[in-house]
Amino acid sequence: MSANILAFSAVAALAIASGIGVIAFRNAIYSALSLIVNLLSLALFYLILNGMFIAAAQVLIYAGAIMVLFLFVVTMLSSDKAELQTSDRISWQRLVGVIAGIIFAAAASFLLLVHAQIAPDAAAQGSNNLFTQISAPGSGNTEAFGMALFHGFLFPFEVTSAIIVAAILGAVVLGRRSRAKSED
Amino acid sequence: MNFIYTVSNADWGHLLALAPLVVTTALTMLIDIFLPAKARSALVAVALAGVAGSGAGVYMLYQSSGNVLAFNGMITTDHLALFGSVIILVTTFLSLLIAPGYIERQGVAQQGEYYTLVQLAALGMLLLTSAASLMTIFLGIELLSLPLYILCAFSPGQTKAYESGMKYFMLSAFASGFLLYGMALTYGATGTTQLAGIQNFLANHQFTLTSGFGPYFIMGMALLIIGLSFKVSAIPFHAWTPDVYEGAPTPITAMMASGTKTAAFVVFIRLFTETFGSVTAEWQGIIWALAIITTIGGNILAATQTNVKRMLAYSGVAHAGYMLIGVAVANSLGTAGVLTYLAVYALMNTGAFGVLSALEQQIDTNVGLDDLRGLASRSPLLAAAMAIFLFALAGIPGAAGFIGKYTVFYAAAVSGHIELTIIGVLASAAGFFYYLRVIWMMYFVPPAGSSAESESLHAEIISAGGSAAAAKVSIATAAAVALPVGATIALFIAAVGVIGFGIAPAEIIQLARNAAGLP
Amino acid sequence: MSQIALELLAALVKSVIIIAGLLGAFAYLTLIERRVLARFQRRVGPNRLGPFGLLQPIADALKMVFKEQIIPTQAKTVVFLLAPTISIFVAITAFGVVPLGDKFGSLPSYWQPALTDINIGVLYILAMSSLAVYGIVLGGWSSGNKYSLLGALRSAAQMVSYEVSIAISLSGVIMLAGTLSMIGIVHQQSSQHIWFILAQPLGFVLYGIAALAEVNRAPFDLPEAEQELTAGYLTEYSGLRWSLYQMSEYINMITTSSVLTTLYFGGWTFFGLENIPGLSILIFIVKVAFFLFIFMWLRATLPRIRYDMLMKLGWQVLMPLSVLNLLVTAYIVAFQQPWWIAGVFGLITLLIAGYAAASKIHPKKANVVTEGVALPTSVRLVKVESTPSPETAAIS
Repeated sequence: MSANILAFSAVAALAIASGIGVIAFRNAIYSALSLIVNLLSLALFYLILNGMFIAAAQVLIYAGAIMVLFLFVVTMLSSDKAELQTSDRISWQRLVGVIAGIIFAAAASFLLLVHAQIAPDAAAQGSNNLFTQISAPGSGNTEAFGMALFHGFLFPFEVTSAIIVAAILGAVVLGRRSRAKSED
Repeated sequence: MNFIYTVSNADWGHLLALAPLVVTTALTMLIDIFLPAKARSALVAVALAGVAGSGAGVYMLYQSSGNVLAFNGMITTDHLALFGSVIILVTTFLSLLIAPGYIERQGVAQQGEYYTLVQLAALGMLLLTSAASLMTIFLGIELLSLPLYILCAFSPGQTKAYESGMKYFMLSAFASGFLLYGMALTYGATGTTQLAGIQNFLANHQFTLTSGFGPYFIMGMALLIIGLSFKVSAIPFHAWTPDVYEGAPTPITAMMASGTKTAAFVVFIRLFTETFGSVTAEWQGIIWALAIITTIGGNILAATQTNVKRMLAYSGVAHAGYMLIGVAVANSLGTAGVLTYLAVYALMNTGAFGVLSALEQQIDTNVGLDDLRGLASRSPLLAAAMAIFLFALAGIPGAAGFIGKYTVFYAAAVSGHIELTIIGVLASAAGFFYYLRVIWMMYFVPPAGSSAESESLHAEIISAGGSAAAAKVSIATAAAVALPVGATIALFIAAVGVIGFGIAPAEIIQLARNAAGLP
Repeated sequence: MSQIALELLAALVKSVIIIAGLLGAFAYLTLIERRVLARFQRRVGPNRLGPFGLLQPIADALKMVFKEQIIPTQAKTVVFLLAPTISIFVAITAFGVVPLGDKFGSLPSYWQPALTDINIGVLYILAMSSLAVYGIVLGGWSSGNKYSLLGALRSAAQMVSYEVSIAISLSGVIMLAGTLSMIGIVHQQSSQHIWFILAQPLGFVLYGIAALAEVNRAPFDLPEAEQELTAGYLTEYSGLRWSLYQMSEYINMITTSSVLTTLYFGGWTFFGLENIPGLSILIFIVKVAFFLFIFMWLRATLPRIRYDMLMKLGWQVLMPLSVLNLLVTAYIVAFQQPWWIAGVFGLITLLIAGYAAASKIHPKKANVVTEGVALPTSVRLVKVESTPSPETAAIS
């Protein structure tokens, strides 16, 4: 077993555990913290793949900015009654969901882990592709990332700006409305 | 393959259909700053101009020939994309025409944002129809969903609106997760995100469920089906549809119902019928089952509704089922059928929601069945328009809906799926009930008054399967409905389209066949 | 020994030296800061223990160790204990990529006095320092105290707002250098024969201000504003855990000063003096000490700014200006213009901004109080009537 696989297994265990934590904790803050751990373990996955730039960006954007805002809102809203108390009218669905989820996860992992193989030329096709080149050790993968982003992937990159405009407008619409209401 | 791809001048030409809308979106936001609050309804003109410009762009792309792929295989401007784009543009155009009157009645203050978001959503739909890579598909879905979440919650101060936006957001985000996971697995199996590359890969490789890259690919495909089924609101991924449609502003519902469905079905066709065309056996069964459940379930659920908007939402589910039949047959004939269906559905559905929006005079008046009583005597034109759209939705020969159903069922029968044809025909026959019930309410039941007649009427409604709300006399029942100019034009266009295509369907069927690659 | 073992050994030795060095630097920074502040305030400062008070930090440390560490009953114990550790961990790790000096003569490169040279150095520092906020937010939340929570929330808002300006203003340097590696940036400066402060005066000032806010130092120390929030997120902490927070604050200061030195002031270089073996580290330390002194100077001089002004400054002043800086730098890099264009432009922008700020702080008409001026309700004017004093009255 190589060091890479060991590292991967450790991080994967961490990622799964924290992922379960996100949905299992009753306290929203602990859920948010688990999500942070989950996002950080994703960054570790990128590091294992030598994707340093993506790893740093992941930490900077998700853990450093987005989750801070999450935590900000959650601590502000639920500081009084930290435990989320909701009466569940359809509690049988939870049980069914858990069973169905376990069956799905088992079937998927059986298929994917036991039987599946990556086709060699799919791997070759992929290795010529963006993600392997930017993770090539030693090469400045930030440069490769930038080249890919502003050449082959220019169009999707530009489209994201439209999505961000929509998101900003949403914040304006919903935020301004609640302010107008509180001023009444 | 080297990923350093330099964008050429020819690439930009492929944006002709998108660029005008991008420009007017930016313009709308800019002009909004300088307009006084009262003049903001003029912004609709900017948005309409953008849609018209995009339509012109589509026409120019249709005339041009040559390479359809652009931007490193990210988007395509083939006839399928252009056909879908036209439907979306028409829907957006009609929805924009209905909007000003509705906005005025509902007292929406943030008109600039409203029109900007509508244009952004239209952009997302256009992008989705022309997506040629898994990456662009995902971005398109996000770009169309994000503005729609906000627009659903747009009516100020309505709990239902917030519920609508929130529900759509949560469930849609969940569905996006499935879609994304499916894309990741597909990419892992085939080593490329470009649809052409995937198609090529599948044509040259063998796989089974338990060997080779099969597990990845089949799992990916299954998850893709889930994600897309959510967008077309196929049963069992339909649960969001009635609540979201009910709380959203009606012009947005109109756009959402036809536009999103068009975009999602074009992706369905592009992904499954085209890209996964060589492995039909692996996915056909799932879609087949989905089509049957959706067709039957949608009609049953629609029949139980008393709120007209919810009824139309469930009827939308049923229509998604008919269209899925076209996908399930998995050939060009089915594709042509779905495209024809989408085109006529856009007209009749937008028209029906347009009539509803004219009836919703005030905040929080959702049109119930008994609000429609005697509409024919109060507003004969409106009632006539509604009748036309409902006849079309029901699929009565002579109106456009019949053409859509005919082409889809024909494709199923010819391709050896006679069982789908039979189920479809029977389901649409059952669907007559709830469409005709509305028409009967409008024409043969007098307006609510003090007579004993209305008492007995209630008993009838209840016995007809609905739990009719207590006799509330809304403004809609009290007086004739004033129809704004924009809505009149929109309804006129839709009605003419519905009747025109119903009588002379050859043109549109031919266009759809061209888009599907048939002679 | 094999190559890998040697590299590991080198990394281990360097880590130990750096951590020990940082902790020692922290201890003496507290002393220096107290002495410097005392000077500013015309006091003497701690001078009792040892010559110049040099033993004071040791005494402080002993005191902290033996203090009781209180855990409030309403605290979330696990998070409460974890939070200071997060702060100090993040602070120390962020320092890992700072190059302290040039490599010594012919020694192999892994003995260069920098823990590591990763090709995303700047980004790494940004990422790590963006995590610093968790230590504060979690500490404030888990204390179960309203003041702590308010302090924590302030800090979260503040750090997220200023991170944007930090990242954008640093990208000017990154574009000029064409690399994200800290060592690479120093080498670029010596090969281009400039310190990037000359090409990026605007970026330097913007980063300086934003970084000050990012490390919660005065005048941006709102999370611990004692007049309003007792001690903010620190309220419930005592003993060693309290000093862990202090430690991370000072280490963050050192990191920020090191970044300023490396990115804008040529790192360990100083007109060829760095070629004398060993001197490069000294040069670096002197430069960092200079910035640390400026931090203290600012703390002694400037009053704490109000919260809404803090937000306004971050979003409405720093961010647009840093985007402007980014655009100008992008222009000269893309069109291969000489660097001084950006420098002159930055200076002019700074002059204009400074003038605007000055005229806002000291409006020309400020002294002329006329009757018709509409004053805010919080301002009450005292009317001083010139009544004759008793003596003059008696005389007359």
